Amino acid sequence: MPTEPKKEHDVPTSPGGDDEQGVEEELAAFEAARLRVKALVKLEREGERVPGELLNLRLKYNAFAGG
Amino acid sequence: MLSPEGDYPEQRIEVLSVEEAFNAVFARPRGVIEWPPTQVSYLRQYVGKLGCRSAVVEHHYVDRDYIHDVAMLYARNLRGYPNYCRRMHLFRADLDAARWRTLVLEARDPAARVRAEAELGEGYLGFVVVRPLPAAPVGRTVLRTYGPSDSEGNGREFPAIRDYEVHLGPFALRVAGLAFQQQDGGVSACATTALWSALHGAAPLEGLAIRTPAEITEAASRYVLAGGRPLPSEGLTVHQVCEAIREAGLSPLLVRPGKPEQDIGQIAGYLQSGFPVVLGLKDIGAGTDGHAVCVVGTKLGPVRPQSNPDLHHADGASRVASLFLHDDRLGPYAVADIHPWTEEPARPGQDAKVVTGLWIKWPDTTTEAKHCVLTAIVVPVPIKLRLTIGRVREWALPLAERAGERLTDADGHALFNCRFESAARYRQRLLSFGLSDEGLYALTCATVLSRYAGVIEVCSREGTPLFDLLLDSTEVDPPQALLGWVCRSGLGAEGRVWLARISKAIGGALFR
Repeated sequence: MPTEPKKEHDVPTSPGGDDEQGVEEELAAFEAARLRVKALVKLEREGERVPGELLNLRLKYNAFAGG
Repeated sequence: MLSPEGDYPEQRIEVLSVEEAFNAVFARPRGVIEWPPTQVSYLRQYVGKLGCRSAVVEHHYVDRDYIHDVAMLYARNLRGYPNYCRRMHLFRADLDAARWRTLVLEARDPAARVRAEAELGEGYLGFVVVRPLPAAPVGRTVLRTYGPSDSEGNGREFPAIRDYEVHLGPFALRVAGLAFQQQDGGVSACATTALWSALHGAAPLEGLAIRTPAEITEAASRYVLAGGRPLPSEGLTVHQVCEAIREAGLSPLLVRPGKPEQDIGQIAGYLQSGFPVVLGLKDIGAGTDGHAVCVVGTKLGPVRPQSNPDLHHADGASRVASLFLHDDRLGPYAVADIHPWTEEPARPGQDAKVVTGLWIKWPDTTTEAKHCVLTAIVVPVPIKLRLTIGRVREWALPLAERAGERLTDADGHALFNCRFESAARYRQRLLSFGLSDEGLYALTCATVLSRYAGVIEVCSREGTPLFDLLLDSTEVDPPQALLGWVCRSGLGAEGRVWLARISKAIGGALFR
């Protein structure tokens, strides 16, 4: 299995990420990102609303014309 | 009258050139029938593309699917249909009868048998079961796929195929593919065969038996007789397809198609998870009835760049330029190019609707394609998989958007990919992620994952993985399903600080 190439980590990864203010700011920034993609997100859920006529669609073709 | 010593069938194995073999097993039957059937012509073209040169034909082969069809339908016909088939094994090598006999006789020596299996296996392209049904001879067929890239360098992926072990004489061979067969119009129509192919991929993942076409039609018609009698099959409704999936021990996930970007996202997500996808199609300009095919692979092009200058993400599924599908009126691994198609408004004053169009082509690419639009997406999935790709994508969008905005490693636009992956496979794969000793041990040995984990993989614009978000697929919605954030080695120090922060803000463990 190939190993992913490692990047150098010259900045400490733990303490800086845990400050409360930074976490609050990140939450706000994530919410702003959610708002920017809200219209796209709505489209993803729409496919799960299945109308009755789709259930009754009959699948039966057997000829491949134009072949 | 049966006699004790007689009446058992004799086997005959014949080694022929591919041309001779096709002419022999697909000889024109008596009667007025258009010959050869489209599927036979397609198969001949397809195996030619794979470089097939010779064939070994077993003249007496008991096929599990066909013999069940006989028991359900053909045994009570006036004409006496045989209960056996022939099976044609296809090879890239120039085999002949003398070489075959030598290989068989030398196989007394175990080492020679291993060598023979290696020699035969290297160029083994798979098999075609030939049914004694004059109008529908193509039975269970498992063939190798096209190679990993085309002549223009576009990638091909077949995540929904699996290995089949094949026994021929004293030899065990293997072929990676997904079973295909032609509908016979008796026990099966297109929906049955498309679902049968999908079950060949999905059922073994859960240790379930694969239903035969006759069993599928029977299960589909047990409670819902939408079109009257179940046999001869007049096709299945989507409702009946769902019922047959449920009876097979899986869960029918039904998605109404929307815009092409979302449809391809859904199809690619399930396919990348190893679940073959059944598509309902409608020929453009045809009546209200539809057709069904089974998607087994994708042809990939470049990622479509983000067209909105205010956004910072790109969808990995936009790489999918074409689908490879089993179309039972054509053949296995047929290429279907994806095109947005504008549907005429149903009533004056309504807006025109852009839907997903598929142009299904022959292997030679010069013959005109069949033009269809997508009408339904049905995926047989494990029962405990409650999360859907649509809901995973709902979370992937803002996550990639925020990562693309924030991370310099993302280079302005973060790319996201969504799929389900078995926890066992993910644990093996993560060994190469460059995790710390603590992170690796915690994720492999101290964390419980659902059998299938939802995986949102966020990458740089160029496709270097930066981090994964793991979701519990037994939950219904991602906010309750956050299992953990996994650093990938493309994520630099600044990005790791950010990942620690966002994991704390949103929830879920952090593995780095």
